[in-house]
Parts: sequence; C-alpha cells; structure tokens
Amino acid sequence: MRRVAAVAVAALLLFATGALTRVRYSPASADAALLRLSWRTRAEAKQLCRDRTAEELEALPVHMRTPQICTPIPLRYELSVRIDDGPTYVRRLHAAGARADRPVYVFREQPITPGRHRITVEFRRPDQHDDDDDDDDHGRRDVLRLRRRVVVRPGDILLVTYDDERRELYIPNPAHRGEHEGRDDSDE
Amino acid sequence: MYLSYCYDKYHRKVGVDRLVERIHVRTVAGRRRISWRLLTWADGWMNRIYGSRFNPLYQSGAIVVMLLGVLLATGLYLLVFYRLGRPYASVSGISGQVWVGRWVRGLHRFSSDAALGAAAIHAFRMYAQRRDWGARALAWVSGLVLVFLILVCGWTGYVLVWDSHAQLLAIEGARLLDVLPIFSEPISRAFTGERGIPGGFFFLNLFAHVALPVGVGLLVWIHVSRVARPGILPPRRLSIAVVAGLLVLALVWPVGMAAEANLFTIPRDVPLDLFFAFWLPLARQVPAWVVWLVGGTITLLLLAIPLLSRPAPERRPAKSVVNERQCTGCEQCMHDCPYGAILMFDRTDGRDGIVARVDPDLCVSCGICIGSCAPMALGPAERTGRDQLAAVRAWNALNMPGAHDVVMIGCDWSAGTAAFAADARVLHFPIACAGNIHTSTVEYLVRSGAGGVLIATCAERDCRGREGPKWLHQRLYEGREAELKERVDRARIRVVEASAGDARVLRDALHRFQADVAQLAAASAEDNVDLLALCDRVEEGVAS
Repeated sequence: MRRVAAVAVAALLLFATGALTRVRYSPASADAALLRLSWRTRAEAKQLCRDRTAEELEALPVHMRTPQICTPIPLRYELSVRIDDGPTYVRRLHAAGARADRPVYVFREQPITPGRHRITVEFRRPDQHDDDDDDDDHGRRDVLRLRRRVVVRPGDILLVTYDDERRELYIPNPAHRGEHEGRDDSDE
Repeated sequence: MYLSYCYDKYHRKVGVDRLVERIHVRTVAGRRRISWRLLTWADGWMNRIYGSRFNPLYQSGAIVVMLLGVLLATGLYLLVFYRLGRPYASVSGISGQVWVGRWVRGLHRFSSDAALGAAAIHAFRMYAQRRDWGARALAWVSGLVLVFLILVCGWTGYVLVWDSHAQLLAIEGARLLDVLPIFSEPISRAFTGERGIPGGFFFLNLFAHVALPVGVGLLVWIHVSRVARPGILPPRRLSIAVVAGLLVLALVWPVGMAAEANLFTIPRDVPLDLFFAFWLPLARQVPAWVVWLVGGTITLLLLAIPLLSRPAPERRPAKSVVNERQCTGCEQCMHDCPYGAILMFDRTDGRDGIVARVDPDLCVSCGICIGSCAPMALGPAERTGRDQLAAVRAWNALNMPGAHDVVMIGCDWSAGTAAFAADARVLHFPIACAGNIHTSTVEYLVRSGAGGVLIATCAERDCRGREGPKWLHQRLYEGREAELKERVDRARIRVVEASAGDARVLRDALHRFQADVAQLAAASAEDNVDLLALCDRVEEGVAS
C-alpha cells in the first residue's frame, strides 16, 4: 500500500511539473492587433553661439582661439498618431542620453482593432507647420508623414518605421502596406 | 565540590522547571508559526509515504545540486547541436531526434523546473525552521542569489529556442530593462521587426547560458562554506528515482515546440513555463517601473529575513563557550561541530597541550558540542553537560520514575516535545536537540532506577543541529568519544526517529518500548549517582 502511495504521489508531482511547464497563455485576446511605431533618427540641435571676448581669447592657448563659443540645444520632436477618426495621440520626444546627444528613439505600441483602417503618423519638430514639409537645405524632409489605408488581421502587428536613407516613414511588412491616403512622403 | 555547589545553587535560585527550561532553547514561538505547522504536516505525510531517509522534502537542497549536475550533462549534449544562426530550426532538429535528442531536451527542461521547485521548498524549510539568521545568514543570502541566477539562466535558455515563448520572454525582459536609465538605445527596439534580430543577441544569450552555471557552482560552494561535511547530494536511490521520474516524464510527455517567433504577430496560445515565467502574465499588466518596485520590494524583504527572523537580543540562544580549565584538548568537539566553529589552539595558561576555542561568528548555538565533551567543559551558557546533569537530577528527584517507567527525552523539534510535552502520563524530559544529550544524562537516568530511556530525535536529514541524531547514535552504540559507558544496560535505552509530524510513530514506539521494559527485570536504583565527580577527577588531572 505504501509503495502504491509512493508511486501515486511521485506520478502526481511529475504530472504537476509537466503541466506547469505548458500552461496555455495568450497575452492578448484573439481579435487583438497592434500598431507599432519604431525607429530612430539623428536629433537636430540648434547652435546657440556668442562671440568670445578679447579677454577670453587671450586666456586661451593660441591653437584654441576660436572666435565663437557654441552650445548645442537639442531640438524636441512631436509624434502624432491617428487611426481613422479617433483621437490623435501626440507625444513630445527628445534626444536620448544624459546630454541629449544621442538619437531620438521612437517606440510606441497601441492596440488597433482588426479590419480596414486609415492611419496617419507624423513626426516633426513642434515649431514646424504643415507647409514646411519640403526638403531643407541639407535635403532632409522636416516633416515625416505617413497616411495609409491598411488592412489589419487579428494577431497582426502593424509596424511603421523609418528609412534613414530615403528619409521617409514606411511599413516594412508587404502584407500591410495597403493603399496611399492623400499626400504621403512615401514614394510607394 | 563543584557538584554540590552547583545543585544547591540551582535548587535555591531557580527551581526544577526553570532548570529544565534553561537547558533547551525556547522554541514554542517557532512551533506556533503557520509555516512551521504546514511544513510539519507535509513532512509527516512524506515520511509516512517515503520514510524519513528518502523524504524528498528533507533532501530538497541536495536535490537542487543533483539536478544542477543533470542540467550540466544534458546541456552539454544540447550545446553540440545548437546553431546560433538558426536557433529555432536547430532546437526543432534536436526535438526531432526521437532516440536521444527529444528526451535529453525534455530532461534538461524538467530538471531545471524541478531544481527551481526544490530550491523554493528548501528556502521555505529554512524559513519555517528559523535556520536563516546569525551565522546562517550567508547561506540564506547566497541561496537567494543562487535562485536568481538559476532564474536568469532559465530565461536565457528559453530565449535560445526562439519560439513564441522566447519571444514573449525576450520582449518582456527588454521592456523591463528599458526602464533602467543605463541603456542609451532601448533594447526593445531589437524585437520590433524593424530590422533582423542582431546577430550578437543569440551569441550573448548562449554565452550567458553557459557562463552563468560557473557562477552557480561558485555560489553553491559559498552556500555550504559555513557547514562542515555538507551533504550536497541526496541518497543514491533517491537521486536515481528523481532522475528516472523526470526521464519518464520527458518520454511520456515530451517537450514540444511552440510556433517560431514572429515579430509581426502577437504570440497566442503560448505554452508558458510557470516555473520560470510565473511573473510574466502579471508583469505584462502593469508598467515596467511597477514590476521593478514590486520585485525590488519582495527581493529586499527576502534579503532582510535574516534580520527579521533574528530573535531579540535577550531571547537569542547563547553561543558556546569553553571552560579552558576543564578542557582536556581531546579535539572531539572540533570533529563534531557541524559548523566548523571550534578550533584547537595552544594553551596560554602555562599548561602543556591544546585547548578548544569557539568562533562566535560561526557558532549557531546548536549545542552539538555539549554531547561531544566527555568532561562537560563546553556548550552554550547554562546548557553545558553539567547544567544538563543538574537539570536531570533535579527533574528525577521531582518525578521519581519507577522501575518499569520509561522516561522520554524528546528533542524540541521532534514529535517528543510537540506531542507529549503536555501529556502528564508520559515522563518527558525535554532537550533542545538530541545531539545535545550528554551520555551521562542517559546513564544517570538508568542508574537512578528508571525502567528505560526513550530518546525521540528528528530525522537525521532534518536536524536543526545538522548531525545530532548521527552523533547521538554513535555515542550510544558505536563508542564515539563521550560514549555511553559499557556499564549501562543498552536494553533500557532506545532511540526513535520521529519528526514533529510523526507523533503516531513515536506513540507506537513508546508503547512497544514500555512493553519491552515491562519484560525486563525491575530496574535497581543506585544511591548517590554522582557522575560529575568522575569529571571533576579528570579536571583535576588536567589541571595538575
């Protein structure tokens, strides 16, 4: 009898071990989907400069006598996301790093219901306006914008990211690329 | 003479109850704890089923070490077939090896789960038994770090598979790390699908998964560094049974493969391993800083247990001290101390030879040295062999056991005290630990006319003093130093292993022993049994 009990308890413990290693878990409901925004981009900085005084120049070694002192002021950025006619999500972002000298990292995930949607994503400096989205002096677009009609299936993660070479927001997964909606910085 | 002075002093000042109480550490508060009662209940059941020698709850710590060995062996096999460039495909290939790979992987997985479960049981046992403070604090803290390392090692192992379970763990781990202000680029970006998984990710994981066990080995060494003769492996039969059981599980219910990780889909219906990912479903519901806050608070509380468990200074059991005048330098206490707290030094009192000294930082007041010292020269204050003898003499005078009566000496943590302390029909002489019993105490009871002496001990693997029952048995029956003299009739002595949850075992043993004693001739009481006088003669010899 004791041996039977010993085997039964051992079997129970083993079964519990086996069962606890494969508990079915779904982090989201079956009809959930996600819109994920993820990219990095070099942050621009405004140079705040002033002329050195004669005394300051005199105090410096000859090879360090630059006429101006410039302090970089990192610029802030604004991310806005809109799905269909829903509320617009707006968030201010700034460059990473203790001295704000690292790139700006964009990472946001927000639930989206499966089906057809019209999404609008914009990334720009807050002081820029819609009519500023032309190339700047260095060929960079000041306002990054993506407007797209997409079809999202249950369980999908719709990724919007940034192509640093073409300087545009885009959807890398071909299954999600969808149709253009209005003016877009994408040339797809 | 010291003897008469000692008895007179005690009788005058403290009375018998107080005298008896002084020789054992107060443990009533400890026994009232819910955790202790739960543990006692579980131990009792497991003892009934597996016997105390193979009770896996007693061997939980040793089982962890044994399973770490299994993990190492199976891990080496898996390492041969794992490919960094195609993690999922290579693990899938291993699982496809019907004859070897599948069960090796299953054994690896289940061993890690069982190791974590056994570690949790071991920690709970130490907490419930209050073996977590003082000199044992190092073992407690190193044990916690060990569990943390095993968790991290498991995390890296699961990520290496790169299935949907791995995806969840990786993303959640990255989310938690990103909240720390130490990474300039969020780690989560590695798992967004924006680019491929960085090549170094799997290499780093594999490196950590292989390197961390080195740290685990080091921590195991630290964990047992303060105990002498650590029992780091369970009995062979139990080891074989545990591994065989896990192997059968791996064969009957093999570890499957979840869907391959896909960063463009939300993982669904993931077979979660709750041993290693128990935190994941809860953590996903709250912001990362809340996870850190809750996790940090729990960790701090666990680390603080040695401070929280520590009794108030006035209730802390005294450390052992040596009466150097009485010490003969026989070294037996040094050999018996389960914590390596006693060392021998050259005498500094002008006499030749060596003398024992106790390191108070290592002493846990277990009192094992009380029973190992023939001249009763050391032990915690008020618990030395001389105090024990004084207490038993006073107790004997009060209770006067008859020629067919059985006196039960019950270890505080065994069923002896737990079940019979309040039973007026049983002549019960309590003591902190069976290993504390000086053989002179047993001899005194027998020669004073008690029909028999039944000693109730804990299970050998569950002794608070680690080696109490083992040394007691050797002192009584195998002639270990401070042995029970030949002149004492062994038929009147019996040792029963009965943990606190084994009251029935002890009751049965008591009844059997009472029946056996009734068959013996009536015990004769000697007058003026004065065992200390013998010791004093030794002491005088040493002094001269």
